[in-house]
Amino acid sequence: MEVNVQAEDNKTLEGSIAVVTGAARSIGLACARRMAEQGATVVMTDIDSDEGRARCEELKTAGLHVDFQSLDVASEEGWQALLDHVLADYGRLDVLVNNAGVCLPSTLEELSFDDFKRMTSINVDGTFLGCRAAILAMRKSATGEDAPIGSIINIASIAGQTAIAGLGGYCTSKAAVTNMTKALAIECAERREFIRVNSIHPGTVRSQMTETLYGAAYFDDPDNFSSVPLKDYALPEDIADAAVYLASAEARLVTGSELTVDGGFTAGIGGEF
Amino acid sequence: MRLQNKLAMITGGTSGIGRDASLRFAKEGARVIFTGRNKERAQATLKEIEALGGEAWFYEHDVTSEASWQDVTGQIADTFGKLDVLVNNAGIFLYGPIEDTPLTDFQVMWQTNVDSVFLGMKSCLPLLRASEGTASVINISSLSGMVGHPDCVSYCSSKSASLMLTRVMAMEAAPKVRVNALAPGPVWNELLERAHEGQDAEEMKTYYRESQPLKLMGESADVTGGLVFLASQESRYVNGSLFRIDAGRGAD
Repeated sequence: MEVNVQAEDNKTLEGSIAVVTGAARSIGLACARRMAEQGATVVMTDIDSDEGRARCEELKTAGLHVDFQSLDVASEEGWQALLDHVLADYGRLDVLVNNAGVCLPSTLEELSFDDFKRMTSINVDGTFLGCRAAILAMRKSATGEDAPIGSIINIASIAGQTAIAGLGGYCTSKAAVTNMTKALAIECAERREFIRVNSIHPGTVRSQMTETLYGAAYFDDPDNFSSVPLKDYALPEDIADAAVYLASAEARLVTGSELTVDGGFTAGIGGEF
Repeated sequence: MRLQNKLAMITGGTSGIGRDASLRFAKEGARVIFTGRNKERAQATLKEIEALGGEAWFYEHDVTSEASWQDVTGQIADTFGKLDVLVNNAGIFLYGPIEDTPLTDFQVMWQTNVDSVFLGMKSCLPLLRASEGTASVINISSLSGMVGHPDCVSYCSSKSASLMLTRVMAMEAAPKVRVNALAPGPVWNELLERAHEGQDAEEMKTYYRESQPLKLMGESADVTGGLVFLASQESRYVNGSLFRIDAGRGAD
């Protein structure tokens, strides 16, 4: 079967149905907005219904096709209900962005088991459940003899590719997401499906998560970014733009890939000779 | 249009991915300088770009020669005074077991696939630094630079070198210039056709397609889609990344 490469100038996600988790703020919200701007209908989900609904209404007012559903990504029943809703209301699913995540900083030896489990539950279980539910929905979305088509984007982290001191539990969970992504990519491809699964690895993004971790003032001090070759932090939109590319037909050959968006932070070891 | 107002240079622009990238960049609003050795083929591409309403220039260029790079960058400096995007695309593919590989074949491969990337970044850096915004360099490496293939010692090692050139330059050229690499799997174009001259093209295409997890034969458009992303503002925080466009082959 042929998958057409996107012609230029069209909105790259015109007519697509997308689900974004953790869409009430920061990266998830930016993904929802950018994807909707590119013509997708986006089902925004978040565990924080008040905030999620409020942001969803704002995007609706801006003329975008969005909808909000409350979702705890660590709940299997929650995913079932969400995908039932998506298939009933929109008839199919084309794109899933597994963005919801939590970071509880601590050395591993001081990390409480409860905190460790909270991170693996949301970051790893949440991604697993989301991918599985999406793949099943994408299979249901295929018509006739056509192979299922879809794009799943897991927001991992550079912490899933390299160790970051003080974030051991987070590193563990994101490394799991990184390789789960590849395993799923291969599984779908080996079934001759066109369900693509890729991960994005942000470096430091100015988001609610990092403002809580480091404090908002952290971002006003350029010294904090001196070890990043681009000497700056990322905005949620930078991650969303990468997600739009991976979701589009332009990336039809991209699966099992890691897209690092970190300003060059993990390109090598800094310092001068 | 995603590359409006950008001045881009693409090496190996008279055939394969380089030609298709030149056309695609022009469609996205970029002014395109494409370089290569085949003047006749270049004329056809120039006409195609003009027909699209785009702007393009062709420079004759030997990417393995420092003098040729100086000549080309000198002309760009005189005419434009800057460069916003550089795509180091020119490359060749030869294969064979190491016992049957003459040192000269190995050296030719390294000259075309590695020296060209070194010379390109070195020669163009002043022009890229003169860009109004952050300039973007994209080196076309290969999945073969990340994983080994038997009988591809010259090609794999050369493409691996271009990945490391990318990483080092991502640190050295920043923050004014971003440097990233694309690592495509097999893409059916003149490069592969030439490599398999005398063999049945359809059979070879089927072989390549079926040997990858995602059963799709790579096309130039798959690479140019990644190039547009990396050349555009959409990737403004992407630097030092080595990004596979390979139907999942490298994840396996």
